[in-house]
Amino acid sequence: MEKEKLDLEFLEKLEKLRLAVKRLRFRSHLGERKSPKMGRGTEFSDYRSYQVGDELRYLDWNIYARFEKFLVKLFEEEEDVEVHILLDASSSMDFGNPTKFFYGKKLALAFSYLSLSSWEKTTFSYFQDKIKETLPLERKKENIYRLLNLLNEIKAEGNTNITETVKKYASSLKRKGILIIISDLLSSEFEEGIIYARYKKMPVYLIHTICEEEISPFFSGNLTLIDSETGEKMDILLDEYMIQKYQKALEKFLNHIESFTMLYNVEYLRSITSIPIEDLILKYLRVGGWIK
Amino acid sequence: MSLKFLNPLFLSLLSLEILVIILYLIKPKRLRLKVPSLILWEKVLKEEPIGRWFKKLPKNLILLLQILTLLFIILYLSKPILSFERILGRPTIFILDSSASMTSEDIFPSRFERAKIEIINLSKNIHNKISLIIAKDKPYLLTSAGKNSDLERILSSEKPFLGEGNINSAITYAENLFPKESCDIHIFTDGTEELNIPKNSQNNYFIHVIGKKGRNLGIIDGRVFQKNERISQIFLKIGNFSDKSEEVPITVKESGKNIIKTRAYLQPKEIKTLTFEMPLLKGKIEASLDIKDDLSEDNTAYFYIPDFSPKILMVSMGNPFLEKALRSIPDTKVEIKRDIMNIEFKNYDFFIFDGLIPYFQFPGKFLFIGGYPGIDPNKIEKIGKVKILSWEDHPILRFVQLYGIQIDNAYIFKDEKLRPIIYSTRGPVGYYLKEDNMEGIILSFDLLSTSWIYRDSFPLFIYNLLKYMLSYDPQKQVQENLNFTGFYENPEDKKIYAINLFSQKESTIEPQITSQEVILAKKRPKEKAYVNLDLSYIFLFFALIAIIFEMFLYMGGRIYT
Repeated sequence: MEKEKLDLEFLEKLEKLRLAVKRLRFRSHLGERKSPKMGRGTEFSDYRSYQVGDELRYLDWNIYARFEKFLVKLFEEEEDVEVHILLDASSSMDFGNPTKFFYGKKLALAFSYLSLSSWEKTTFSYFQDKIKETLPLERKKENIYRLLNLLNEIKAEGNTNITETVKKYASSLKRKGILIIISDLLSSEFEEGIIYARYKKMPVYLIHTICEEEISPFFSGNLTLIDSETGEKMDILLDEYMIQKYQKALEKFLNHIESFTMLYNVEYLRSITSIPIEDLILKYLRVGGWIK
Repeated sequence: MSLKFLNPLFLSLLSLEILVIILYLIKPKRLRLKVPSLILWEKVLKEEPIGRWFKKLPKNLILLLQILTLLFIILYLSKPILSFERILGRPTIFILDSSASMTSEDIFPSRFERAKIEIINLSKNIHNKISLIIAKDKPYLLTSAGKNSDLERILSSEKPFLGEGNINSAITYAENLFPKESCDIHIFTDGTEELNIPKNSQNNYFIHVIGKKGRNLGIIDGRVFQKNERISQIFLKIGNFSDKSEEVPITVKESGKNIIKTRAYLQPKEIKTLTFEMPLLKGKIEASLDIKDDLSEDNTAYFYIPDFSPKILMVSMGNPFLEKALRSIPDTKVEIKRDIMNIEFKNYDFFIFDGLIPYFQFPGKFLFIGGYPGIDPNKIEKIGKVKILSWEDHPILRFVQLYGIQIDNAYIFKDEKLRPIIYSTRGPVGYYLKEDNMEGIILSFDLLSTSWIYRDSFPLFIYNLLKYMLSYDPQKQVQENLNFTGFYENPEDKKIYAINLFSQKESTIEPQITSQEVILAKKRPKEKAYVNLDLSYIFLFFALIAIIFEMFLYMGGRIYT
C-alpha cells in the first residue's frame, strides 16, 4: 500500500486540459467558464437581429454602415462553477491492483487539478458512511499540495453509505455546483442520494471504479467469502457454474447503473483499475467529452 | 434366520470410521476470502432456490454421510448373507373351465364370473408362482409362474368360450407344465364334464364346482335339408335338461319372418327330434325356443342355405354337348367365348377351357379339357386310342359311370402336382389339381373324340363338378376365433356361415361332480430349504446413494442440468 503514493508528475500532462461541464444553467459569479447562455462576456459569439429593448451599445455600427441592417453583437457569458469532488473511502475500495481507492484518489487529484486550473471553486471530500473530511481548495492552484497530502494520508476503511452521504452533502451546499462522485457503488441503494442531488438540480458526474477481480473472480473451490465492509460471511462452492452466474449478476448490476444514470441524466463513467489513469484522462475522458 | 458374512475380514475395516472422524476434525477449514462486498454474491445465491433449504441442513451431515458410505462399502465387501429356513411352497396352477355351460346364470352374475372372483380371492393367499390355464376347446396358458397380482389383470379381460370345452385336455396340459415339481392344481368348473385326473400324478387337485341345478332347455342339433325341388325339411333336436317337464314354444324364422310357430312338450331329461316341412327355404333361418332359462346360448339354432347360381365362363371353339350339360343345371349362368382374350376373371365363379388353354395361371375353379396352363411338353405322352377302365372314389365322380368309354386320342400328363382320378387302359386321362388358389379337373382328351358325351354320366359329371367346386357347408361350430353364435360372413371368401353351439354336454348344465380335494402328493414330505438372501448389493446401492447425496451436499445443494 505504501507504494501507492500519489505524486504530481502526471498532473503536468493535464496542464492544458479543462473540465468540460455541459448544460450549466444556474446563475453564478462570473467565472472563466463559457456558458451556453449568450450575454455579457468579452468574447464575440454571434449576431442577431436587433429587437426593441436591446442595449444600443451592442449594435454593430459597421454592419449598419455597410448593409443598413441592425444587428446586435452577442458575447459568450462566462460563469463561475463550484466543483465538489466526493471520494468513496470505504473498505470495499481497497481491492484491485492498483486498488480502486488509489485509482479513485488519483482521479480525485486529477479532477481537482483540472478544476483549479480552470479557476473553478473546488471542494474535495471523502466519505464512508458519512463525510469524513472536507477540504475546500477554493480557486488556489497551490492548494493541490494540501490535497495531495490529505490523499496520501487517508485509508480505505469502514462501510459505505452513498445515499446518506450525498443527501447530507447536497443539502448542506449553499450554492449549487457540479458533483463528481468517485465510488465502486458497492452500496445498497446508492441511487437515492444521486436522485436527491439531481433533484437539487446539481449536475452529477459518477465515476465507477471497478477492479479486475470483481469482473472475473480468480478464486475457486469451497470458500468462505467475507464482506470487507460488514464482515458478513458466506459459504460457497465456487466453480465455473457459479462464476458464470456471478458474472451474469454483475452484468445485470452494471446494466442497471447505466440505465439509472441515463434516466436521471447523470454523466457516468466506468473504469477498470487496470487502465492507466493517464490513459483514462488523456484518451477516454477527452473522447467522452468530459474534458477538453 | 441368521446373518453371516462370507468375507468377515473386511469388517475389521470398520475401524476406519474413527479415521474418518479424526480427518473431519483436523481437516483444513474452508479458505476464507475477503471480497469487496457480498451484494452481488447474495444475488447469485438468491437465484439458486435450492440453496435456501440447503442452508438449514445440519453442518456435519457430510460427516454422517461419509461414515455411512464407508460403513456400506465395508458391509458390501464383507458379503453379508441373510439366510432363513422355510417350507418350499408348491407352484399353483389354476384351471378355469371356459365352456359354454359356464355362462349359465343360475349363479349371479354367471358361473364364469363367479369362478374368476373365487380364483382372485384364493390367489391372494398364495405367494408362490401361479399359472393360469383357460380350458376352451383347447387349453390356453395365460400366465406361467407369475405373481398373484397379475391374475386379476389377466382375468378381467377374459371372456367365456361359447363352444364345447375340453377340461381334460387342460388337466393334461397342467400335468406337463412343471414336470419336476409337485403342484397344487385348482380346477374351477361347473362340473358338467367328468374329470380324468391321473392316478399317479405328483400333484394335488382341488376341484371347485361352481354351479347348481339350473333350468335349461336347449337345441342340441339341427339341420335343414332340401327334400326335393319344392320342399325343405328342418330337423331340430331339442332337450329338456331340467328336473321338471316343460312345454316350450318354438319359432322358426326365414330372413327375419316367422314361418313356423309351434309348441313342444318335453319330459324331464327328455331329448326329442322335431321335423318341419315347408316350401323351399333360402338364406338365413333361425329356430328358437322362446323361453327364459339359465343358459341362453343354446336356445337358438342358426342355419344358412346358400343360393346356388354360379356364373360360368366356357371358352371353347364349339361343344354343344358341354354347353347343353351346363345349361341344364338350374340357376346357372353360362357365358361362352371363342377365344381367351380379355377375360375378366373376377366376374365368374367357374371356368371351362375346352381345347383353348391359357398360357398363364389364374386363381379360381376350373375344368381344363385337353391341357392346362404351364404344361411341360416334355411331360406329355400320347397314348392314342384307349378305353376308360376305372376312376377314383371322388365326390365329383359320384354316380358317374365311365367304364368302357372309348377315347380316340388321349394323352398322359406326367406332372407330379396332378392327382389322377380317371384311368384308361394305358394310363390316367383325368386329373385333379389343387395348388395355392387354383382348384379343378383336367381331362387329357378331346371330349368330341369320345363316346362319353352321348352318355348320361357326362351331364352328371358336370353337375357334380360344379356342385363340388362351388357349394360349401355353411354350418359351423363355435371356435376360438368365432366365439359367438349367429351368422358370420367370412371376409376372405364372402361366404356366410351359421355358427351354433349344438352340444348336449354344454346344454346339460347340472353339475355331474361335486367339489373335492384329490390329494395325491400328500405322502411327499414337505421340502425344507434355506433361502439365502445376498444383502451385499443392497449395501452397495445404499453406498452409491450416500455418495450421490454427499456430492450433492458438497456442491452446495445444486444439481447441474
